[in-house]
Parts: sequence; structure tokens; C-alpha cells
Amino acid sequence: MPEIGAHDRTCVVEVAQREVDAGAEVTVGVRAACPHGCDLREHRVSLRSQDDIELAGALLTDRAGEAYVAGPLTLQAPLDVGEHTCRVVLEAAERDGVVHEEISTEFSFVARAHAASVSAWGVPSALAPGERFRFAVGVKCSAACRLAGTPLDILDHDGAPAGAARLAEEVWPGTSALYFAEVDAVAPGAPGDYTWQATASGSDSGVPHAAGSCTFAVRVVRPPDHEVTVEAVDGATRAPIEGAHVLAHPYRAFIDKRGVAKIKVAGGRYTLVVSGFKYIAYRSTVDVAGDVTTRVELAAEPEGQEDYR
Amino acid sequence: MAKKRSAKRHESEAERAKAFSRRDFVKRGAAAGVGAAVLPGAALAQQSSSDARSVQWNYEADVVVLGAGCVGLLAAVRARDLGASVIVIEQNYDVGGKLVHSGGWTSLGGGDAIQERDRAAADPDRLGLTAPLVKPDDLQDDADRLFRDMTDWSVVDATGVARYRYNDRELHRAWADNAAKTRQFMMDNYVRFARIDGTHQGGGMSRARAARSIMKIADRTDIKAGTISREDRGDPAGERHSPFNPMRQTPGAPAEPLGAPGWVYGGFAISRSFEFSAREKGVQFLLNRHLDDIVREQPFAGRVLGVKARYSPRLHPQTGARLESFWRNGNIDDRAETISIRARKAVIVATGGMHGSVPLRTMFDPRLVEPSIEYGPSALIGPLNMDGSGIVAAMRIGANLAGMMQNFQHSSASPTISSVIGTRDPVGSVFPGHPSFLFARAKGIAIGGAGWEHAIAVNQVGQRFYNESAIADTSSDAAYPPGNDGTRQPFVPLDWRNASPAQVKAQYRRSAASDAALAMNEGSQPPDYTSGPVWAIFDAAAVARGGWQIRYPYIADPPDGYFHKADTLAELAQKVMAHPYQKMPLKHLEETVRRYNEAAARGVDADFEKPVLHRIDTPPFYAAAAVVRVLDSYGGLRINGKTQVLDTNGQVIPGLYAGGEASGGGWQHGIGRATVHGYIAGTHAAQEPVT
Repeated sequence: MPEIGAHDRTCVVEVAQREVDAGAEVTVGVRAACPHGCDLREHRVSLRSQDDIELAGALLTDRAGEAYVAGPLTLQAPLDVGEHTCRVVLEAAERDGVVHEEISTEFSFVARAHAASVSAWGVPSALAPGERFRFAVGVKCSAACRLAGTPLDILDHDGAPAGAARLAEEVWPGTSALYFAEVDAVAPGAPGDYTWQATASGSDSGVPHAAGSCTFAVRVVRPPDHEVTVEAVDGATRAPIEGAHVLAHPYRAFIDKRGVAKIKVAGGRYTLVVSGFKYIAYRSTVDVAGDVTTRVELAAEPEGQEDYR
Repeated sequence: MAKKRSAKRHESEAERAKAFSRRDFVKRGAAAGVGAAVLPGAALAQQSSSDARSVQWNYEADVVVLGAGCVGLLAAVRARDLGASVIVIEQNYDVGGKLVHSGGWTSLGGGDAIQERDRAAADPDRLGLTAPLVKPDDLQDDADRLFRDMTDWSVVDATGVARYRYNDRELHRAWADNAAKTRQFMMDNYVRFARIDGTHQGGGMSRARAARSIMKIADRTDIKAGTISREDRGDPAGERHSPFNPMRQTPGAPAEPLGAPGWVYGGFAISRSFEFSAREKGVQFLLNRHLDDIVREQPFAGRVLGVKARYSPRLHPQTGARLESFWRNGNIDDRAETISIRARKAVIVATGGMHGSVPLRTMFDPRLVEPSIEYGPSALIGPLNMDGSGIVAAMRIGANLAGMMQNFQHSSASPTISSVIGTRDPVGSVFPGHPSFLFARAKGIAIGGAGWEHAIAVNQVGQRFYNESAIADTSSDAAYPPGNDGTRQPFVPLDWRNASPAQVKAQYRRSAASDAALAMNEGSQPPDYTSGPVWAIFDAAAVARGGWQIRYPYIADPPDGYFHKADTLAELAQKVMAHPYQKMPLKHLEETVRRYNEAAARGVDADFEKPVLHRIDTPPFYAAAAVVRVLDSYGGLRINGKTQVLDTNGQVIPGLYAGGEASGGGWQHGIGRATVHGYIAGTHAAQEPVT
């Protein structure tokens, strides 16, 4: 039986994340104990702002060792970026002549601007000097916010503007919150490997969003002057292998339903690789000094250990 | 004596059990308990030693078979044919072990009946076979030639392993002498075979000896007629398996290229046929029973008297109901926690291998320390699959081991990165409809070896570790026809040129991908420093190119942690934490992909020399577990040519037999090995004196 009188309780606050997105939920756990071993169940915990406004409240319920726990309690992080301090108040309680005075403890967390994850895809593997091309840029907010209309800027290898767009209303197919835009651009005027940048603007109004960016490769090669035609068939059935991949780096193509792929290349020596799903890849060296046609018969992969034997 | 009265009752009831009609089988009649030799509590068998004397026998039979897989089924039927009463104990809920889902490719030889049939271009059973696939000269065989092939020191495969060099000579002489008899025995128990189309792993270089076991697609399943219904066959187009047949599905009539148009092939054709025959002949099954102990007169001396087995039901993960066998006639349904079964003549250990036990499998193979390594089809056979229980139980009564190092060098026993990704069960890879899918949760996405061109493989910290296009580049059949897997062509048996350094150097092509996958990484923590899972990382463009099915039942729904999709690579790196063996996020994934994409743009993979690279940049992104797994287990109990288990002094342990993966002494693979072992064990066990 606890000694009658005033008891001092202890209170520990555990914040799940030190940093959270502005406006996101902050999860707070509270553990309280009485050195006299009092049963603290039903004692109330109040989570309050610096202005002493209650943000959340709960009762201590479950026991965890010598302590009692409440929660988890949640509050919404302010939209103001920066450190914020709140208080957990363990309200006064009296039971069977035992008085527990109110105690409180402060805790803090950082509200940060939402991060933008930027990616680019669909850039052709080889471009001729000055060739127009189209690619996609996507932006995902760390809090999965709607980003439609957000401006994008494309900077070339010299930091000069190379394109601009705004994120579309829809998300990219197959994703939950990746907003995207298709961007038109013009390749540099000379062959070479270039690194470009895509940047999504930040915003301080409303929900704060940080800017984000990514880099991507732009490869410019001599203008093609010859055509390589590849016919790919199954070595056993002679059937066309639609979808097989043809590579004469940096040029790529896929075999069509007729079993043919055509790629325009600059003259030179190439390693020609033809590969298909469930087939052993074909590889040979090809010297291209004019239009070239080659027929490739691919052998099926041997029965492997994935198959029962 | 009560014991003898019980035995008499048992045998008479077993005779009645033989009167089952085939209708009982097809309708899956539940005649549980018929013929059980239940011993009353007052009629305890008195044994000579203090240990054995305390055993209260609940059941007894002449021969007790431990395991209802390939060895066990054949041993049980063979012993029953020779007049013994037989009880088969099986830890799983159904009969068949690994055999039921295997390819059924049965490599025997020695002039067996199928070799002779094909050599004569005949079809005596009117199966509708087309012309033989192998020329007659390559089918002319005899036991001496088979024995010489099985011990040919000169054969070296593409991984540098001399596949036959140190096969135990006594075992393989006996094996060769019994191979043709076993083929006939199988045919006498309703097994049909397609044309011979080669020779299985470890089955010899000079002759063609392997044929697939087959069943003909028809309106109904009839074991005696050799037919299988479309329902029992499964429906690959409808993405369904049946409880009858968990073998991976192939559309159409897959045995057609094997000379059997209209037929399907698979291990189920052996397993279900022998199960049918066993039940028909009065063999009884104690399913849901895990072997715990083998009882011997003295701890390390005297005869083997019987076994103790505990109740090991498998429960439906949603309903909690016990899973039941496909056929039930002949089952003894006893749910007591532990029971003891007396073997009047012999106990046959047919419990399979040991890859389910990390302590046991790592005794001689340090590669297998990784706990996430999948072994065998565990969803099919359960968590106690291949746990080495028979090996350990025999060791506890003095048995010796043999051939343990042969585990280390066998391709089927070596860790391999699966190209069926996104499932915990790449070995079974079943559709819904078979109970094992309840545990597998997903069939997985079969990308094949070529599919790795379109993905990268990363370890648990998100780093690449090998040329992905060489991940699947390991094979070591080293069997007929010559030229396979690095063997010399033309092939001359016993010729030193087969093993010359020039020959080996020219053909060597072992992949070390799994070794790299199992290496330590930043996530390897003490005390075990395990390496964690392997992930295939790819993007939406790869999915489109490959036509990969990113949906149930190829991936789990609800998710099971083996497949993940995310809008960004950063999110993907976090999501993999749902995998049970993943210890940390894919810390380096974003950097790894960035570097890989740069390499793809350059066309040169300076890190791992992957020949063709596709950028991974089109959202969404995917992480699919690529399970590192082993298929089979080599090394086990030391046996002699009669499959009798030997002790550490080389002496026979009276009344104890073993075979298949529970035994050691050779590199021979699969059904050919196990069927002959079962045949030999059943033959000799039935001839033991009654004790």
C-alpha cells in the first residue's frame, strides 16, 4: 500500500523522429513512473504547445516494467520550418489519499521543408548533334504532396537553360505520387558525353517544399550515315524473336514482329549483341562502312536448375 | 502374447486393405486407421536393454520406413511385395517428398527395359510413342558398362569437378547391378516412361539412360491406365495447380518432344503411382509424424528395434485446419504427441537430406551458414523438410557418415542465386490450388538467366557483387552425351585426356556469383556475420521489355516482404526492410544505380564486366528477392551395397538401412539414385529375421 501523502512522479518523453516534414504527424510516447510504486493507470497525459494549447491527450494505460505508458500520442508538425518545442504535462491526480502533483517536461522536434526527389528518364542513348529529343522528368514529394504545376528547369552542361516545363496533373503510370512532365530539348552541337541537370523549384508558400534536382547523361555522337539491319530468329523454330534487344553501343533497337531491327549508325567498328529473354546472347564484331544486314539465330537457354530435371 | 495377437490382427487387416477399389483412390476415400497394428497399453514389448525396455510400442510392423519420398515409397512397396508388413512414417501431411514435384527424369540403365524398348524402336505398351530419340548404339548397355561409367576417374566437368572419380565402388557396383531391376519394378507399379532422351546428372557418360515418367492427359485420373485428368494435371493458362501434382506447369503436352504426344511428365507420375500401389497393397502411412529417435537394443550395440516419432501436423495458415493427404486410405490417424513404432525386421531411413539444419549442413560445407538459404521445396514439404532427422537419429545409435565433402562440390547442392524472383519459394514455384502455395505465397517471376541483363543484383546494403549475366552460368551434369558441361568429345572412357589440364582449362566456366552474394558486407553483424538477402533491382522499362507479370499469383497479395515497388529508389531502399532476413535499408542503392546508369551510358561496366547494360531509370522501381538456394543434399549415412547402415567401426547396424539423400558415398543425382536405393533397401529389409 503506497504511503499516503504527496508523491513525485517521473516522466520520460520519446519522440519517434527528431525531424519530420512540415505538417506531418509527430508521434510521441510517454512513460511515467512513481518511485513509491503507485499504480498510475488512468492518470492523464496532456500534450501542449508553447502557448499551452492542448494538442493531444491520453491516459496512462499499459505497464512496461516499472513505468506506465500512454499513447502513442500524435500531433501535427507546424508548417513553419524550424525547431519547435512542446510540453508533456502529467496532470495532477489524487487517489486514496495519495496526491501526485502535476509535472511537465519539454521536448522538441524539427519541422523541415518537404524534400523533392527528382529523376529523369527516356533520354535516347545516342543523339546526333543538334537533334531534338524528348524525355521525362518526375518529382516525388517526401510527403507525397500533389505537385501538379510545379515548374521544372533543365540546365545544360554549361548551366544554361535547355528546357522548361510544368509537372502534369496526373502521376506517372504505376506510381503513387510521382508527378512528371515531358520535356523537349535540343542536343549539344558537338559529339561528346554531357551531364545535364533537372531542377524542381521549391516553394515557401503554404506547405514549404525544398527545391530538388538530379543530373542525367546526354550522349552526342557523329551523325549516323549507315544502316545496320538485324534479323533475329529462334535457332530451332526459325520463328522471329520479337522484342529481342540489339545493341551496337551506343545504338539500340528492338526486334519487331517480323523479326527485324534497323539501327542507323555512324561508320566504324562495333560489337553487335543480340539478346532475348530465354535466349543465349549472340555477340560478334561488325565493321560498318556501308549498310549492313545480318541474320542471327539465337539458341534457347539450356534447361537450367530452375527447371525440374 | 498380446504383441503377437496384435501383429496377426495387423496383417489380416492389411490384407483386407488390399481389397480397396481404385474408386477409393480416385474419390480420395478416408479409410484412416485401417490395418493399424495398435498395441494395447498392457501389451508392452519387453526389450533386453534398460533403454529399450522402457519403450512402450504403440504400433508395429515388419518394416518401418522413415520418409514417404522416392526411397521410402519404393522401399515400402518392394518390402510389401516380399511379404513384409510395412508402416511408412512421414513428417509432411502428404506422400511424395521432393519426388512429387521433380521432373521425373529417371536415369537407370545397365540394359534396362526402357533402353531395350527404345533400342528396338518398339512401343510394346502401346503408349503412342513416336520414334526413339537416341540412336540404338547409344542404348546398348549392361551392368558392367554402367558400373565402369559410374566410377570413371577421368571425367571432369565444366566446374573442374571429377564427377565419378570417388564414387563409392561397392555402392555403385550394387547400384549398377540393380538399375535394370528397378526400372522393371517401377514399370510393374504403374510407372510409364517417355523415350530416353539423355542421361541425368551422375548417370554416366557413354550411354543414354534417362527417361521421363509420364501420364496421359485424359478425362479422369486412373493410375492403372496411366491417365491424368486435366484438373489434376493443373492449368497453366488458368494459373492453377492441383493438390495431385505440384510440378511446375508447362502449357500443352510437354512430353511430346520426348516422344510421347498427349502426355505430361513429372515426378508425380512416379510418386502417385507408387503411392497408389503401396496403398493398394496394404502399406500403411503414419503421416504428420516427425522422426525423433531410432531405438536400438543397446545405445551402440544390438539390433534396431523401432523408432519414436512426434506429431507434426501442418496447419492451414488462415483457417488453422490440418492439411490432409490427397489419398487417405491406409492412413493411420493418430494425433498423440509422441508414439513409438516397433520394427520387427528393419527400419529404413529415407528421410532425405540435411539442408534444413544449419548446424548439420555446415559441418562440412561452410557456404551454407547463411540462414536465408532456401533448401529444397520447403513450402511443399514443410519446415521440417530435409532437417537431417534420420541422419542424426542414426548417428545417435552409432552410425557413421560418408561422402560429406561431396556435398561441397555438387552443383545441385551448391548455393545458387535463383532466377525465379520475388518469392521465398523459387524451387517449388507453384500456382494456387496446391496447398504448398499457402506457404509459398507467390509463384515468383521467372526471368531466366537472360533476364538478368535487365536487372542488377545487389546485396543487403544495395551494392552489386557480380556480373549479373553470369549469375546462372553454373552447370555440371557431366553425363551423356559427351560434350555436355565441358566433357570431352569424342569421349573415350577412362582416357586421361578427359582430365588433362588443357581440357579442363578450355572448358572451365564455374560462376562464383553465389560466393560473392554470400560474402560479408556492411550489414554483416556479429556473431554470425551473415550476408542477408540478394535483391534483383529493375525498373518499369525492364518489366515492359520482359513482359514480366507483376501481379498475383506471381507476387504475394498481401505482400510478404519478398517483392517491393516504389516511386523512387530511396523509397525502395527502405521498403525492403519488410524481408525477414534484411537487417538494414539498401544503404548504397541510389549510388549503385547511378553508377550503373553511367556505365550503361558509356557501354562499359568497369566494375563487373557485364556485357549488356540497360539503364535503370524509369519509374516505378522494383526490388524482388532473388533467393539463394540449394536443391539437393549429398553426404549422409555410410551404407554398404545392401544399403545397410554401418557404424564407426565399419560394422553393420543390424536392422538399419538407408538410402537416397540420407546416405552418402557418391555424386550421383536424383531419382535414379533414390529409386535403386529404395529397391535394394526394401529387398534386404524384408529378408531380415523377425525379432
